[in-house]
Amino acid sequence: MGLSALSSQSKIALFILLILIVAVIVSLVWISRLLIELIRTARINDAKKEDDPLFADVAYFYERGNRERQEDSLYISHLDDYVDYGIMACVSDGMGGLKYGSEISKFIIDEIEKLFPVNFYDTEAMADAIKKISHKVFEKYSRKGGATLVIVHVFKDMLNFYSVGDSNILLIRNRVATCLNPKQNYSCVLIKNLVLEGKTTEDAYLNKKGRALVDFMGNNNTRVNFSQTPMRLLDGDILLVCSDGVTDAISLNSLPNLLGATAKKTAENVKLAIRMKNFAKQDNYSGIVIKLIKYNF
Amino acid sequence: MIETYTFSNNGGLPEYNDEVFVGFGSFTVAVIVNGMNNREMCRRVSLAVNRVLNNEFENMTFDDMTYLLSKIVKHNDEYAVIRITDEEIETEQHGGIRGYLVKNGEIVQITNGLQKIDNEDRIIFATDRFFRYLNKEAILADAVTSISAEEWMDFMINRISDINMLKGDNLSAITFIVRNTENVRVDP
Repeated sequence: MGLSALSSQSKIALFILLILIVAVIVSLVWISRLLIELIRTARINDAKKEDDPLFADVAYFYERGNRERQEDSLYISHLDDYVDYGIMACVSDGMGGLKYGSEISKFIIDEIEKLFPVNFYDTEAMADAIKKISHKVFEKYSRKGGATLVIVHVFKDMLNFYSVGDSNILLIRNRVATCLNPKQNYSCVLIKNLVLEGKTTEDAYLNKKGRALVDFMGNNNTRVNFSQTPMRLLDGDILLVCSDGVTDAISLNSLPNLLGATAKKTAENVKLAIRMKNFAKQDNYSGIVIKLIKYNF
Repeated sequence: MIETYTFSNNGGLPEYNDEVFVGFGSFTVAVIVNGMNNREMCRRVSLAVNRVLNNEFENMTFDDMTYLLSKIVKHNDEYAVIRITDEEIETEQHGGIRGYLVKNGEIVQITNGLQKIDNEDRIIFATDRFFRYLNKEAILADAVTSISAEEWMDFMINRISDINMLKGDNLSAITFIVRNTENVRVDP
């Protein structure tokens, strides 16, 4: 039986059915294409979101405490250079008890400023440059003075850091503060020796020379501790680069309680908290607060 | 090459009850056992692992090693077996003994099984009593700052010491750094 045998009404019904089937197929193809495009766009947006750099909200405090002189020095690179070179923040703390503390910390910071912009991915070159600055201090002051140095370099969502002495690079993440840089004081040497002897380490903390620096800017052949590879930063991370006058007055555990909505507010809170402690022998206390934020444009 | 450093400390207690074993060959094998709750099991493991690591481990597959240990330990005993080369790490962890991998500036916990690793990756395995005093950011910061497996361990021990002066618990850990090249930086 051929098509011609069908009634005209049946032919029309068949024709409509065919059109409907074609329409459904076209619609399905069109919807699937639309869905694929939507998924692709969402994936691109997600990837873009991950690639978005973290922006830096920066503030600082710079206080003399109850010392006669301010021996800390600070440097923050221009935020205009942030997109191309990131941000570098440094604190140098002139060593108390030795001459020329403020002069040396200022000299170091001036020299660091001359280095910027530095290649973010060549941390060895930067560490060598810091070592050369230390050698210049050594030649000029012959160990009659020295200073500590801590530097953070944030680029996109990565962090490099450099440290000589016992100043602090603190990361506050999820309301927990962690000191990132190892310290170069005599107690670390004592701890190592006690561990090798299989002993507990209380003697390292009872030793009166425990806090003495074994390395500093201005020492001969200074060891610069630095990140061999960068550390990834996260949205909401806060960095506090500071002299030991801050951490001697405020414990790491209580530091997250001082966080404000902005870097400026956090800097103010830390400064006021130390001021209110009113310690008679309060050391100079200076710090740079960097709050990392990811904007969703 | 796999650079390795082991740390075992009685933490002020009269006895060290954990065990840390390392065997070197064409690959590196390490075993960590928590003996705090089961000293007898730890002794049995110690004898077996020493025999294997001293003589036979080059000819054993990872499955052979884990099978051997499973015959000695009980279900709830805490131990980890690690087999590591320049390119991959295979692990089996039981109980509170765990490992972390530091890679590309991030730290992730190592899961049981086989995993690819690359040059300069850093790996730590330790008992939970060692990790109790360290957060992941501290382990990561110390990993990226250190120039050797020993220095990485030293930095972490300093942090633990600052909290408890290494008093109270046995501490056991092992650090690895993957070195495909000879560019180990040593300050002159």
